[in-house]
Parts: sequence; structure tokens; C-alpha cells
Amino acid sequence: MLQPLPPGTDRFAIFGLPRRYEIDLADLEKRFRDLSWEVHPDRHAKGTARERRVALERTTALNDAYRTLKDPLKRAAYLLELHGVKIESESGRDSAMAKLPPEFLEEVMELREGLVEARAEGDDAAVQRLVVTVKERRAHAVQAVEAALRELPEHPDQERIAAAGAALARIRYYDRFDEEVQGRQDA
Amino acid sequence: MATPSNIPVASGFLQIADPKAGHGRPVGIDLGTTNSLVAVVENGRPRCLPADEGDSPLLPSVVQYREGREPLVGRRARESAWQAPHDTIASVKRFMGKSAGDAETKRLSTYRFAEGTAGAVRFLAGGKAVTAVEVSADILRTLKRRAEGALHQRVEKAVITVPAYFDDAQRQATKDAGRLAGLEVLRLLNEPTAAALAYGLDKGSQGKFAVYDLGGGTFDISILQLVGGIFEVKATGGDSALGGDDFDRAIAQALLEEQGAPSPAPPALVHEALVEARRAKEALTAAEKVSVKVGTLARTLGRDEVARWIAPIVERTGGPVRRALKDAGLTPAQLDGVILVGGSTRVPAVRAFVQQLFERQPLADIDPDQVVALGAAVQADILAGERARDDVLLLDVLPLSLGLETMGGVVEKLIPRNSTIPTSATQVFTTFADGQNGMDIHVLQGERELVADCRSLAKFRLSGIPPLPAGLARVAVTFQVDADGLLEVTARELSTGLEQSVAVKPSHGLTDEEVEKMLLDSLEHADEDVRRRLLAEAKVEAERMASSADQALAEDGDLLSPVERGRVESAVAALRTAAAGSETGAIQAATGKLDEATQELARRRMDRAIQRALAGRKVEEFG
Repeated sequence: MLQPLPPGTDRFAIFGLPRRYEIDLADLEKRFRDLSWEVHPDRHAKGTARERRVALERTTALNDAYRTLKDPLKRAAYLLELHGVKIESESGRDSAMAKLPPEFLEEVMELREGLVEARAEGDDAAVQRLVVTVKERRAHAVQAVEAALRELPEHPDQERIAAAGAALARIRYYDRFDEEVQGRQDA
Repeated sequence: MATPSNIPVASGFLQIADPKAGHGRPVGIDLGTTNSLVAVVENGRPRCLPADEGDSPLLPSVVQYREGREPLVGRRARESAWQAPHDTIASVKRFMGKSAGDAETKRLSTYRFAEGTAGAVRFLAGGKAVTAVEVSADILRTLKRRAEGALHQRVEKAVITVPAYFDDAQRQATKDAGRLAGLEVLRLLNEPTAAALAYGLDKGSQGKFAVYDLGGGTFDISILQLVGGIFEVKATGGDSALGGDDFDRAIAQALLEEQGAPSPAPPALVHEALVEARRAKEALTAAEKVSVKVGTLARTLGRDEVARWIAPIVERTGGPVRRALKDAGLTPAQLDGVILVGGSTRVPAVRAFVQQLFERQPLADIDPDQVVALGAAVQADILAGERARDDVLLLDVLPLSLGLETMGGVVEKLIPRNSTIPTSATQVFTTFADGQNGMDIHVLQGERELVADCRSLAKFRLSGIPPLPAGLARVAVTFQVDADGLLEVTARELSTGLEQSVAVKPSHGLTDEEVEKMLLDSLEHADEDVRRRLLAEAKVEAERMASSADQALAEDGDLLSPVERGRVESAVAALRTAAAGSETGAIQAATGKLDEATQELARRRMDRAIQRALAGRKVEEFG
């Protein structure tokens, strides 16, 4: 009979996986399908009310965990959350985004000012250069996240965790910049 | 062979008289906008049963109500519709799950609606008021009777298909119609999934498949992956205002132009051209040439010519296809097959376009009109057949994103579209004002960024939040979508544990047309949406900055010289002026200026606060 998940089971444990950034996606997909066979409500349609409820809870947890783990950046953010680091918080405090150094915020300000200027002058080439710059810096940040998290299991020190959090926070800023460029493309 | 009456035919080779066979045979039903069909699995193979006169498997979805008599359903109702236009209900599927107050309800047709009734739509037909659910039930009842007649057996269980995009209200309405017709609804099955099942993809085959469904008035695309008996829907998309009827109009228009008809052409001539266009379109699916006659024009029409005329319409299916592929993270080359569904996929130009789009020959060996009903029969057999099989599992998705209203009328998406269901998501929100004791929870569905452009599903208020400074009270809002796609929302204040929940039961759900329209709009307006969201956010931030500057001036304004104070005040005024406008850049610039202008004040306030704190300590230490 289907049992509820132990309280506090993390999204890696749902798949029987260790808390590691590196994941074999084909293996994850296979585990997802096998577990779906096991826990899906349709497979327990003739069970008792309790069994059906457990099936719903287990499948919900499975689907949510799958959505998190199959996306590299969502997986990274979740892994950091397990290590007590929030990238973004509802109050704007105590998050990796709030802890970014002033130099980085200045960098973002400069990028934005550059964008406003380029736009004001109708300089599309300059806008494109900024887009490329941001894309490159974002790629670097992604590499930084991956490098820090890859070594995390062997070296679970706060420095690495903070570095990964800061890089993920930078990615959010770059994505927002990108959104702003996209959003005003034809304005 | 024995007379099959009272003998349930098992799907195997033995015919067993089962004492428990009270429910008779499970059937699959395609309850369509234009036509409805019923199918059953026999000896492991699905087949459609005769559903209308002349043993046609297609029962036109038309019901005519006549005072004091049984309603007339099917071809005869359609043919005599002109005699009783108000009493004959066609395309009732468009009204499922809709409320009478829905503005679109009135625009959809020329029917007469009952006045002053809240909730569901009621048609005035044949001297009574009938709901869309009842009209659908009359169609289902007819299918049930015809199936029983053909099988010589009772029919009480059915799988009924719905468009993949049907929302909760529409699904519920369909299920209610089934119940009303005396059917136990085993499952509401998505039409593209049914088509995939009919192709026997469950029989050991694997891979990724696209289902391209072009009907008379709607287009649907779904991407499914099949591995080891699991049908996993990866993405859905479509266009509700695109179909074979548009082909007829394009052909008719070309013919009218050619014979030099005035614009606009006389209605009778337009009607003639449309009828002739449809006939030519159908003839050209088999023949290379057909002769047509419209008004004074008589000529031969070739396939290629028609293909050119309808090409712009056919090509419009490309957008939703590409988006669905993108959502599924696939290229056409990565697909293993493309399945054609819907009568309009018989048009050679459509097949050619699909072949080019997907870089492969589409599968069309099952009648595109019947394929959905056949798949439904397969699923009915899986769920309730004599020897229920358990080697197939369907994993479905949420067709449209679910979200909440946040500051500035912006929608924060909690669960993105195409998430596998059941699913859940939690988001923590914080209070905006000091001492705020309540929070409005507004649940929305759709892809657009702003509340005004999404469908409102439910609104409720979480009250009794403890009075705390802004940003300190935290409210966790959880969405839970179950396996049937039904949503429940729970809101919980984290410091007190105060909890409120609401099961979202929209009285007027989205139609699949609305859903698709929202999706299409989101594509068309994606850029505009981001712009508007950024503006809304900038305004919120501007007001926050201006209010805190006001407050700082009121509390510690004496720390500034009159000149300094004047600078802050004019920066506040400039910011408020900018925020009243719609220039995001100007608002951001003014926000930055105010930030600069208040730096000094902020520093002096900090100093004063520290001094006060130290002074307080001194009193305690030495007092």
C-alpha cells in the first residue's frame, strides 16, 4: 500500500537522489516515469479514500520536484535554499539579491543608463552591444554557479554557497535587464 | 454465433454471460461542436457505431426542441433548422461552462436566452428554458440509445472527450451532461490524447508525437511523449478562430472577385459562392480538377490554384505549432510522428504544409473525423473493459498558467502552463503598509502580465493579520491542482498560522476559445506586457520612495536647512509628476534623483537615531 512521504523529504530524496547539482537528465526522466507508475492517482482509483489522498499528495510532490530538478537554474536555486540561502525574498531582505555588493549594483546602473542613453540617441547598434555584454556576463555567472555547485558535495563551505548564491542573484538582474530590452524593443 | 443480446462481448475470444454485466459495454464518445460520435472496442479493435439515420457514424450536434414532443437530434434537426431557428440549438459546446452574464454569450449567436437567471446560460427553445448541459445531455442520450440499438446491449459507462484546453467549469459541465444522460463518466479525456491512443501508440511504440487537429472552426496542437505505456502531454496550443470554414471564405472570395462581383456582393451570391466553394474544396481532396459555377462564372478549378488561395490561412497554423514545439523543447526533426485529426486535414494543401512544417509525412490512415471517438473507446476499454488493461497511464498538463494579483495590477505566475498535474506551488507575500490587517487574494488564469488581461477565477480576503510594520507580516499562498485539474487555494499567515482556503469553482469558466485567444494575445502582446509591467513596478517603487521621503521630512525635517529641504521637496514633487505619467524611464530617473536628494537626510537621521539610542543607554547606565 502506498505510504505518505516522511515529513521533510526534499525534492532530491523524492527521486532517491543525493543533494547534488549534477544530474543525469535521462536518469531523472526514467525515475519520474517509474515513480508516476507507482504513485499516480489513476493507478489507485479503486483504492480507499486514504490511498487516493496519499496518491494525490505523492504525485503532486513528484511533479513539483520534477519541475524543479529538470531545470538547471531552478535546481541550483533549490539546492542553495536547502543550504539556507534564498536568492530572492518577499521582503527584499536576507536574500542573495539583497547582499550583492554595491559595485555590482553600480554595474547594473551603468548598464541601464547605457541603455537609456542608447535609446535616447536611437543607437540600435549600441543597444545590441549592451545586449551582447549582458549575455556574456550572464554566461559567466552561469559558469560560476555551476563551478561552485559542482564542488559543493566535496567542499560544502559557506564561501562556495555564497558564491553560487551571488552568481544566481546576478543572473536574475541580467534577466531583468534583458526583459527591459525585450519589452521596449518596438517602443 | 449467438444473438448478442444480453451477452456482453468480452474483448477476448470468449463470449461470457457475466452476471455483473449490469453496466453493459463501456463506450467512447466524441461530443463535438459540429458532429458527435460513439465508438466501442470489439475484439481488441475500436469501431464507430451508427449514430444517425442512414447508419452514419456522425450525429450532427444539433438539437431541436418542440413543444410537447421529444427533442429532435441530428441531421433532421439540422435540416429543418431554417423552419425553427430559435428552437434549434447548434454548436452548444461553445456555451458549456459559461454564465448567462458573459458578454460573449450574447455575441455568440442569435438564440433567445431566458432573462434574469443567474449562473448557467438558458436557451428559450420549444417553449422552455434549457441549459447547455441539458442540450448536450440530449445529444449524449441519443448516442447512448443508438449505441444500445446497435450493440443490443445496455450502455451506461462512457469516456467523453473534451478539448485539451477545456477548463474546470467546462469539464464539469460536460461531466454533468453525461450524468444527466444516464451515463457514468469514467473519464474526461483530452481530444489529442484520444487521437494518439487511437493510433495504437500504446501498443509498444515509443517516441514523441504531434497531434495536428484542424476542424471547421478551430485549430489544436498537442505534443505528446510516449515511453513504456506512459502518455505524457508535453505542450498544448492552438487558435480558436482558424479552420476549414476560413478556406471556404477564401475560395468564395476569389471566385467572386474573378467574376467581377460588386463589393460587398449581394448576400444571395455570397451564399451561392460559399456553397460552391465548400463543394469544390471537398471534391478537390480526391480529384485534381473540379468545375465550378458561381453567378455568371463557370470554369474549371485546379488543386494548385485553391492551394494558393488558402495558403495564408494554412500557414497561420505554423505559429501555434512552433510555440508548442518550443514549450516542449523539441525541434520538428526530434518528433517520431505527426497525427492528423479533424475533417479539414483532408485538404491536400494542409497535408503538404504539415509535411513541410514537421519535415515528415503525417499519419492519416485513421479517418480524421472518427479518430477521437475511436481513441475514447480504447480508453473506456482500458478503464472498464472486461479485462481492464493496466499498461497505459496518461499524464496530463495544466493548459493555462495560474497566478495571483500583486502590486500594481501585475500577475505573479505560480504555476506555469504545461505543468504536469496534479501539482502545487506556494508563494510568500508580504504586507505593503504598516499595520495592514488584511490581504486580498485574487486568483487568475492566463498568460498575460496584467490582471486586466487574465481571467479572474476567484477573489477572497485573508483578514486578521496581526498589526506589524510593512513587510514583516508574511502570507503564504498555496495553489493545489488535483488530477482532474481542479484548483484549490489556501492562504496562511506565517506568524500566527491563521489559515483560509477556497476551492475555486468558477461560475463561468473560460471557453477553449477564450483560453486560446488569451494565449494568442499573450504572444502578440508579450512585449507590450513587459513594458506595462515595468511601468507598473516603477510606479509602485516611486510611490514607496515618495511616501518614505514625506515621512522622513515630517519626522526629522529639522535636520535640513531650508535650501536642502526645498531640494528634497522638489525631488518628491518631480517624482510624483513623473509617476503620474507613463514614461518608465522618466519615473526611474526621478526615483534615482530623489534617492540622491535624500542621501544626506538619511545619514543625519541615522546619526540622530544612534545618538538617541546612546543617550537612552546612558540614562539607564547611570540612572
